[in-house]
Amino acid sequence: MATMYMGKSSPTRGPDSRIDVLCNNAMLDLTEYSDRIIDHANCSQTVGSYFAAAALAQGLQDWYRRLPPQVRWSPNIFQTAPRGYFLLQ
Amino acid sequence: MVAKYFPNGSSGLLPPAVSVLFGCVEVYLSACACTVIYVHGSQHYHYLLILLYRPLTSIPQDTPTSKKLELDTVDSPSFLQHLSQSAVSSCLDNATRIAQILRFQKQCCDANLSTIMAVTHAQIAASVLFHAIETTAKESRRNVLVEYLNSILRALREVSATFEPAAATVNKLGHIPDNCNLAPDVGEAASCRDVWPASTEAGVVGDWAGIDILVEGSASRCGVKEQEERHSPSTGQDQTGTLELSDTSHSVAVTSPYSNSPWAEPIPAESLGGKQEDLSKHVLGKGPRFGNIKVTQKAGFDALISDLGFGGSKPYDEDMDMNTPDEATHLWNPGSSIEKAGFLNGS
Repeated sequence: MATMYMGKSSPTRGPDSRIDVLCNNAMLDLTEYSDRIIDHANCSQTVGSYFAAAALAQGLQDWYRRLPPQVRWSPNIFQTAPRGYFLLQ
Repeated sequence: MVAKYFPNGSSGLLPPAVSVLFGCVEVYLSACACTVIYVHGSQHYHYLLILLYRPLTSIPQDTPTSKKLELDTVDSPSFLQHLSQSAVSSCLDNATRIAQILRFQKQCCDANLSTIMAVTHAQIAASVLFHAIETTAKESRRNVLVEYLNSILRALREVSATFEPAAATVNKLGHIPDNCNLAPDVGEAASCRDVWPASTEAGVVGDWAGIDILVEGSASRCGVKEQEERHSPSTGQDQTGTLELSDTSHSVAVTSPYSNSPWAEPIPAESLGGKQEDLSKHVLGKGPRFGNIKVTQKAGFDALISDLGFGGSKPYDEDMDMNTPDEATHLWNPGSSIEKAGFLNGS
């Protein structure tokens, strides 16, 4: 989904650029959940709202599981990672 | 999985199916927050979880004062109150996680809050921590939270010259009650834009070294006695860090590794020896509570702990100490820090 906005990284741009693109893609995916969460913020406090929160939390967890290994937190990456990586982290 | 936590199949006036459904939500919400604690997720991820849970944190009016929560009716005040407490706990967990991530970034970047989005993350985490500090009575726990807030405010102050919202946040949240042992540089953070390093009560720090990020097993710099030992009436021994439920006395005999967390509530004396206690809120000190889950057998309790990932077999990131890159490798060695601390073998 996100690649149609961001484009694919060029092979000549180096590994850092590739990580930037992956981070941006992941952030765009996360933005979709932001919209839903903001909508949920106006809910009243009922049991149903907790059900909705549980569903949204599940979506966020799924997002985290789908993260490419290159942008997951790793001691081998964070020392040389670009800033976009830390924003994602 | 849930049915075994409701051995009677239902609770109160609810039909069995609804009761189990609520149990699912309860366990699920709790499990989510537990995962959030230990998965070193995205800063934005934790930010969104705070946004998600924050609307649910307001406790409904005319709630009963009884500590024992019963699942009586749909939308019952006690049940909502319990869920709201879980939401508060989740918000706090995510806020502390953001503080930890910011600290880690500080080790790698000159300006860890390089974008306004990162400032926003820090702002919401600071507000959650500030609220928690104001509402926390236990001083040791409050001191740890102050340290977290301290670290965030330092990060915000560092970029306050660039981002005006950061300066505004520091200005608003930089005034913490004196009894919180606040580091001297934070209180004047709004007007003081000194460059790093700053001095704290722990000494002069060149980076984040003076800020004690929560470590299971030690937070001495925050004045927290992490290594708690409790006497087991069933075994007659003092044990630390193992989970055990006495079938005969129905009491919490020893603590879990997670009860060492600063926001773990002490086990009240009256609960020891009670007939059927809400064990989870004592044992699972970190994360949301399981007020409507009553565990009466050790097997069921072990299963609950196992299902939630406690016990060292699930690859979560239990070590929050991120002082050095080497220590960061604990994040990817499931159970390593807990095993090192001797929590699993009870040593």
